[in-house]
Amino acid sequence: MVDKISEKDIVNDKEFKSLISKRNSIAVTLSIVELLLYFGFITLVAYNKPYLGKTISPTSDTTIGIPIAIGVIILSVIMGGIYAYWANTSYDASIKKIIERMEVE
Amino acid sequence: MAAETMLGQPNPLAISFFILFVLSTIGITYWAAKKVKGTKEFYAAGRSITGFQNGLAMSGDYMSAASFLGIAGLVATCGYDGLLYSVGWLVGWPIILFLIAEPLRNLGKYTYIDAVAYRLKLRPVKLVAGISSLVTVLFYLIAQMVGAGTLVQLVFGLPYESAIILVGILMVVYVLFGGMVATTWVQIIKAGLLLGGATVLVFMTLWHFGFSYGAMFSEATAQYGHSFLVPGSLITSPLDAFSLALALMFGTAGLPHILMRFFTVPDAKEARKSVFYATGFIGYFYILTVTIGFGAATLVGRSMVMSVDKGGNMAGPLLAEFLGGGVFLGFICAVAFATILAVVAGLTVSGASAISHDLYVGFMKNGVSDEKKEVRIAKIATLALGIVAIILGFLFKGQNVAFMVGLAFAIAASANFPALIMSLLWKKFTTAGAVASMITGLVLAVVLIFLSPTIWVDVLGNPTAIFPLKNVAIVSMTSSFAVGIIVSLAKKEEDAQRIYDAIIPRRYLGRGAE
Repeated sequence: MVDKISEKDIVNDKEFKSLISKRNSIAVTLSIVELLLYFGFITLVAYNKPYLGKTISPTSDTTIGIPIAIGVIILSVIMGGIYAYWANTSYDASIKKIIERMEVE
Repeated sequence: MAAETMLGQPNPLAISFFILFVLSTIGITYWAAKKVKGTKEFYAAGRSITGFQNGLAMSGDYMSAASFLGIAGLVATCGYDGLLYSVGWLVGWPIILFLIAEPLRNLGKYTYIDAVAYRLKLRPVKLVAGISSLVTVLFYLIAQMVGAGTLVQLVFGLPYESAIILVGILMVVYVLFGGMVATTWVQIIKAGLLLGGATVLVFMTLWHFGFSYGAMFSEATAQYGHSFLVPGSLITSPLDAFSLALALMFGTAGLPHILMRFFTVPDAKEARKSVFYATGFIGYFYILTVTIGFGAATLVGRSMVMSVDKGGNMAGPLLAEFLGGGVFLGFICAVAFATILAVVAGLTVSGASAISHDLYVGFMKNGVSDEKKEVRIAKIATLALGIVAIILGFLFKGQNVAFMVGLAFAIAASANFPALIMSLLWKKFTTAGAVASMITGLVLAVVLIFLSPTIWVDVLGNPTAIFPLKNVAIVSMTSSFAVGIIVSLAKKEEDAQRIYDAIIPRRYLGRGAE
């Protein structure tokens, strides 16, 4: 089905172009968030060990550093899930729509 | 507290579990051998693996002995510092998903180097990237082989040399006869065993503490003090911390055997799914290993763990023995060995493809070869890698090879990752830029690690290191990017830019992707 339309038509299509740039900006934004998340954690490790060493409550021995580290892991998985879900449903569907519309034209 | 351990004596249960694993994987290899006809099957399992299966296989490829035994051991001996590795080894995965997965899957054929070379001149890129890929795989392989030899010695009572030969033969059998098809299923089974085994181990540990992490951390604080739960001695300077972080995060995105798995799924959609599942499995697994580490520190005791193995690598097995006796010890040891076996099989497929697909067909034959011959070369390369792995295993007997996994990650982050990401995302990237960047990253990573405290002081016994940091990526990776950018900007490559635009439909829609 895809092969009926020339590659040039797709590349020059306005809707396709804006979808691609939307995809790229989402991917870049998420990457930046991930980098901030991780290097924020590393910055604490490098410069503020006492903060990571505070306990989560006066009665507990657990340090703040532990939920923060586990939190980075869990947030990373969740962000990956959000992207994969968005790309595999909304993004792929929009691409399909554009191709179908161009076929009709 | 466990006063003694059965580790060190032959454990019949471990041996039985292990034989069962070997027999079932050999069975799979026999089944796979009938399917492996050409390069598509040998390198990419016929692109017939689903996203979920590939996610499991990727996590199987990634969860090496260094992460299972190593992180648990590091946590058991150093406490919080072990968490830095579990976090660092996970955060590269979302980056792979956001920036690399789709274009890599759509532009490449069998190896990540295909995607790097796609719009550049084939021969120089294939030559340099092929060598750097092979070097990454070899350092990783040495660490796994030595780990396997030591583990088998401890667990099965077999001599080190026979263990190395056994691992060498098995990995060659899987890859030679079953190619990527067998390797994928070995990874999937191993990932299932490892995740299952670690889950049971954590369940039993938490049972012991009334399912309260707080209680476990209180016990750890009572035994080792507050500092056990705070980042400590592993990170000596802020620069070293950032340097380690760079290598862990971006090294993941430059490991040839992981990137190769993207070509076993049919399209970009399944590739995205694979990375998401892999991230989930690996994240879950790292939370387990950290728990195992703290469990071993509190229940088995740090001194006991270190008396069996100074590096703490036996923390997991010792905890299993404490909680579940000889049966559980045997099972966990067999799982650990299966882990190593699966990882070396993945490394072998990847190393063989670097030799046959990148260096032989790409560089020597300028990309043109008949399929039968290419598979034959790949099989010869597999055999050769098996022999080299055994020899290296012998040579490094008794050496502290923990730094080699670090070195593999440093090279992957410095030589493989910058060229890959720039070729995928930056229009003005050129062949000369790619070659210069890869050579810079590879040479700097290897030379600086040699001059760093890790080898210069700890291995060679010199009083002070010439290069002050333990982790080199902050210099080698940034230099690799800088050189790649400067050289690319110095001289324009019209063809590379023209092809970058021409492949937009392939890159985003998978049009004409293989």
